[in-house]
Parts: sequence; structure tokens; C-alpha cells
Amino acid sequence: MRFTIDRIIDKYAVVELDNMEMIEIPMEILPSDAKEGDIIHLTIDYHETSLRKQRIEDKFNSLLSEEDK
Amino acid sequence: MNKKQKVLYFILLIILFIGVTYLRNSQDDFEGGALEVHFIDVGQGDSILIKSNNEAMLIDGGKRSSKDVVLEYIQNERIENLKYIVATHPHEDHIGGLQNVIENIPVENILMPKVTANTKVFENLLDIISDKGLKITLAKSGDNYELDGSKLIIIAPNSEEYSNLNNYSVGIQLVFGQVGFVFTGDAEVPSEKEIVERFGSGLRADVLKLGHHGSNTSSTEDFLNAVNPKHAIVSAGDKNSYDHPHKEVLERLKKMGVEIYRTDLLGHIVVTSDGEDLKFIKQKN
Repeated sequence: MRFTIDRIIDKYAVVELDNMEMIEIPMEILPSDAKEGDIIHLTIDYHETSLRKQRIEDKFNSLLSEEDK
Repeated sequence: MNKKQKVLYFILLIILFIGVTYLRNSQDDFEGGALEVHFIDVGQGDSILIKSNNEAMLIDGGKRSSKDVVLEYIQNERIENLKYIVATHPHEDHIGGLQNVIENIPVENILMPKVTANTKVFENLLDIISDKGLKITLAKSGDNYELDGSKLIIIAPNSEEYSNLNNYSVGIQLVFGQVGFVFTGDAEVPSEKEIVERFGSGLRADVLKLGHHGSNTSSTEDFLNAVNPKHAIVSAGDKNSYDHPHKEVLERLKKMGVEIYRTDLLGHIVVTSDGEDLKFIKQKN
């Protein structure tokens, strides 16, 4: 996923998707130094995703009652 | 019917005739030389169509999502040719609809500030300008243009570089007879300050299109005092995310006794003039 920051107004950025559609997103989800004209790439962090999944599953399993284990 | 009654009837008839004629005249559009300024309702964006006698121009083309609104509006006005298109600055809410216009209507001149954007919308605009064999004219402060009976004065930008794209906005003062208009795109405080420094009381205008959709990042007291408008236009979208127009700007104008017209509340706003008086027509769309 890739988009271009067209304009920033207060707490929002209006960004242009690859199909030229414009959508408004909150500035909080962009890098803090993002500015107009910047092209943003969104990628899935597979490593972090699997680590987190493992950690939470472990936590969950450790909390199961004896008979459910 | 005696003589007295006949005279009375005759007088009544004359009064009726004068009354009807008067009413009809006051409803008519201005005849002869006339100017029409159409603030097209494009939601949270800008698009202004100006017709002066036999020539027309367009300042900005609204968002890409309102490109058909703008083109149909121009076609409904039976405009076959645009002498100028002004792209005040390359934000999508100002240039989004221009590609569609240039594709479908012959354009003679394209005025822009010296700045670019990285969006496809902007690149496609450059491509259509190139496809049509047109060139870009840089808008330079102090330059003059003519629109069949109206004079256009470029009043901004006044610097080469700004930190904010809005401040590159091409500002235009239009003078038709005794009547004046000022349009500043999205120019904010730094640009307004430069405009006042350079043009001072020469800015005086009856109608001001408020900068940046009525945001408090524009319309400083100094700027409003210099323009000293009687009427202000806000081009903004209904219930937009940014609360445009901002309350403090509206209050500032109210205190000055300026009448405010908003596309988010009224739809398209048309101002006509014979060079002396102004008429406002509001069309809910």
C-alpha cells in the first residue's frame, strides 16, 4: 500500500491513493515528520505479527484452567 | 362613466403601468456590459467561474470527486472557451477538477504559481496541459490581465519560497467599473501580510473570497481592513472535518459589518454586477 500526502489540515492529512482517490486520515497514524508531498509505504510487519501472536497465545494458554489445558 | 371617473381610471392605469415596469426592471439582470462571478458549490474546495461580457475564466476546479459538477456547470452556462484557467496552488481540492475541464473545453491560458506537488492529480494536470499543446504562465505579483471589460491584477504570491503550499496561492484582484473582487485561494497569514505591504489600500474590494475556506490561518484583521469588503464568500463543505469557516473569522467579519455568504449553506452563489451595483443570487443545488 502506497499513498501520497496531498495536504495537511490541522490534525488530518488528505492522501492520494494509487487509484487517485483521496481519503482523509488522522495525522497520528503517520510518521511524526511526515509532510505534504511525502510518499508513504504501508507494509505488514510479519515478524512482529508472529512474535506478538506467539506472546499472546502463550499468555492465554498459561491462564487456562487445568482441565482446559 | 363620467369625465371624472375616466380621469381617475386613466391615472390608475398609469400608476399600474409604472409599477409593473418598475418591478420588471428590478428583476431583470443587468443589461449591456455585465460581470458574473459564480462560486460553484464543490463542497470542501474552491471553483470560481467568471464571465465578463463575452469572455470567461475559471479560478480553480474543485476536488477530483466534484469534477463533473464543475464541467457541467460551465457547460450549462454555455461557455465554449475559457480565456484563463488559474490553478491557485496544487492542492487537490483546488486542481482536482481541472483535468476534466481542460479535456473538454478549449482553454487559452493557464496561470499557476511556481511550485509543484507530488500527486498523480497534479502530474495528470501537467500531462493534459502538454497533450493540448498548452503552456503554463507563471502568475507574477503586479502583472495585469484583461477579461473583456474587467481588469485582473495578480496580487500574490509575493515571495519565491514558502514553507506551506497554501501560501503559494495566486491572489487576484478583479476590477470591473466601480466594483472590485479579491480572490486569494488558500493564502494564509504570511502571504496576506505581503499582499497588504505591497498593495495597501489599493486592495479595497466589495467582495472577498475568504482565504482557505474561512480558516483562522487566513483573514487577519489587517488583511480584512485593507480589503474592507462589504461581502465575504466562504467556499467550504457542509460539516467538514476542519470546522471551516472558523468561528473567530466569522466574528471578525460580523464586527466589521460584512455580510457572509457560504456555499456550505447556500449552494452555488452567483454575484452579478453592472460595474456599479452588485446582486447576489443563491441557488440551492
